[in-house]
Amino acid sequence: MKTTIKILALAVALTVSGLNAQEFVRFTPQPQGCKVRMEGTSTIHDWYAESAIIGGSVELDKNLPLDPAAKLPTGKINAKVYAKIPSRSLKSSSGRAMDVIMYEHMDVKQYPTIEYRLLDMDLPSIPARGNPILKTTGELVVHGVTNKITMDVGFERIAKDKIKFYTPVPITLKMTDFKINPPNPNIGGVGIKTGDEVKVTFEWVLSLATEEQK
Amino acid sequence: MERIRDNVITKNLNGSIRSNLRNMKDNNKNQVDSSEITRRNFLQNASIATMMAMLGGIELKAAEQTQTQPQQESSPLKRGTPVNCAVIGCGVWGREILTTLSQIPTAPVVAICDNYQPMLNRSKKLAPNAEAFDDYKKLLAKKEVQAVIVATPTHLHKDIVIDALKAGKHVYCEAPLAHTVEDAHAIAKAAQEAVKVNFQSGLQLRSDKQRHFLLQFIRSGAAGQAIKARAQWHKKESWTRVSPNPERQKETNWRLYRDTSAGLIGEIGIHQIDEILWFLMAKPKSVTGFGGILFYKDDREVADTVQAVFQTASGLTINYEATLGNSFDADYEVIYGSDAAIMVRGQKAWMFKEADAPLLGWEVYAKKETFYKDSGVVLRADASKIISHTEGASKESSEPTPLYQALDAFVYNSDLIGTAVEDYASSFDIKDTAALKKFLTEELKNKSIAATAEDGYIATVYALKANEAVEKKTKIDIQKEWFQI
Repeated sequence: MKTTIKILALAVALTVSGLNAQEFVRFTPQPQGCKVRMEGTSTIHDWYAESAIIGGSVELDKNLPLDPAAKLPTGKINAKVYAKIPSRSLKSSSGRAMDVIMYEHMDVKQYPTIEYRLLDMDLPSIPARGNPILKTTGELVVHGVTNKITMDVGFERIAKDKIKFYTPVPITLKMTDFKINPPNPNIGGVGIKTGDEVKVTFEWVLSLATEEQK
Repeated sequence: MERIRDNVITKNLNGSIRSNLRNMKDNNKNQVDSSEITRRNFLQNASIATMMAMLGGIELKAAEQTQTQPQQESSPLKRGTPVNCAVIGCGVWGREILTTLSQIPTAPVVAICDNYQPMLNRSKKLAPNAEAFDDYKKLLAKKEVQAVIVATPTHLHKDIVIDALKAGKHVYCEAPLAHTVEDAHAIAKAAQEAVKVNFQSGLQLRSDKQRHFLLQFIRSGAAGQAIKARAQWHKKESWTRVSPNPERQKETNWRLYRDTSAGLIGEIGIHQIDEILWFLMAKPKSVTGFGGILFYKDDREVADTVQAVFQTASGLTINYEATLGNSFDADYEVIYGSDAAIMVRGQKAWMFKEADAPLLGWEVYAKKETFYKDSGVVLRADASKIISHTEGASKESSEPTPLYQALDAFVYNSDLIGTAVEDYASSFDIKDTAALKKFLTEELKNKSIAATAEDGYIATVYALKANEAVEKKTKIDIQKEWFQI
């Protein structure tokens, strides 16, 4: 009988421990801390488009230390990340007319959001100075086309309840990889050719979700 | 800023000065309302523009190169997505608005409203696809209506505007905002609190490309120091409308009665007075009124002939005159500077230089027109260059009217705000108004220039106080606190 109780207790303990390993803490984005910027080239001048909206959420393994002073463990990090950007929230440096051309090429009516889902997150090492850099793999959906991308992502624990992800170096993407034809608008009788490559940077500040947001 | 508020037209400003030309080219620094324009910079760049024109012709069309200026792209795609509009109040002006909206590709009119069926019938011809309502509340309940233009008699604005804002509609409210300061204040306050929608006051001249060109010209100091300003509106017309029956007489002729009308100054003069105060950044400290019912001996209560003299702290006077009894010389505004007078008639303007005024340079090549003994240099965005003196000299203005430009700006800004709010709500807590306001401030940096609720309120207060001064034939000291919203 005693043995049975011990086995049962062990089983319960293991189950609880297993459940704990699967538990996450949820973070939601803050309106004043989001910025995504893509920079490109054209035959007349360089351009950029920005959005201050990155929606979605981040769920981190509850055992991951969030105290900025605490040491992070290296290795795989259990996390769920989903990010979305309304395509038409991207505003170009060339004004509204160029925005509209950009939206047409991105088919914003059919594909209103740019989405990202994390597949894998790894922390290979802890730098002596500065924020740790995560190696991530995820799926990026733009214009309805899904591509797997790997990114180096900076991770800053601003406070116990506030975190930030950012790009330490720009990510290079090609429009044609997402079946977007680089715009070639004719403005004022001048034909403009836009380069295929864009360099993307972002900052994404999230706070611990409130009960309502959970 | 204070030192240039009144009669000095922005001479000798210190600090970093945006040049006129750069201002035209820089989409991100295009707030032409800026006082940071110096005479030297303006003249320098005007000369550069002349030289450029002679060398091959870059047009000095400020508005076309400035994102916040009204644009004239014909494709709806180039002006954002369409915004479903409704017009409430389908009288003469309401139908003018409908006609104008029909020329704006991004402004489909989906609903019209008037409590008098014949007005609706006439308006249906101008907006054949619009659903007709006799009750504005029913119109506001329609989800597909995104924006409303309120063109009812002035005294009916308040409830309609506030209800429309509450219903989440973008609102264009004709000027004056209301026939009382209290109502105008309530409208302006509601508009400022309605963060999620666009509100525009119907001061259409504020959206006019030609006015923005003049604004820069005047504020650069090109006319010297402001000495005085004057505006007039002369038109021989009774201001009465034929009433179909005695019951509707008062309703049809609401402009003639004190309890419903803001008078000649409030209904007509507000646009001209606002234009001058805006150009000169003047804040009058008092207004003195004269006038009365001199010609039309009917049952009207508001004056058919008025004069109001605004005076600033520094002594600059702005004189406004209007009459329904005589048409001579129609309507215009003049700003008298120590180096030149600038006269504005509709969308045309001229500069009359003093003999001892410094040579600007470009005016040698500019088109001139003779007025009695004076020769006026045509002031247009494209007339101060040699190109307009040659191939374009005989070409008359094809600019859209100020009303078109104002409504176009309204639709454009409504689209910008509407989509920005919708996108924001998809990711963040929309109830956090402070955060939303901050977000929108950044997002709307490139919106088209248009009169705000504050602009409309300030102009309404000045006009109503001037009307009161006329009625009482007295001087009214203008209090700062009246302008707090």
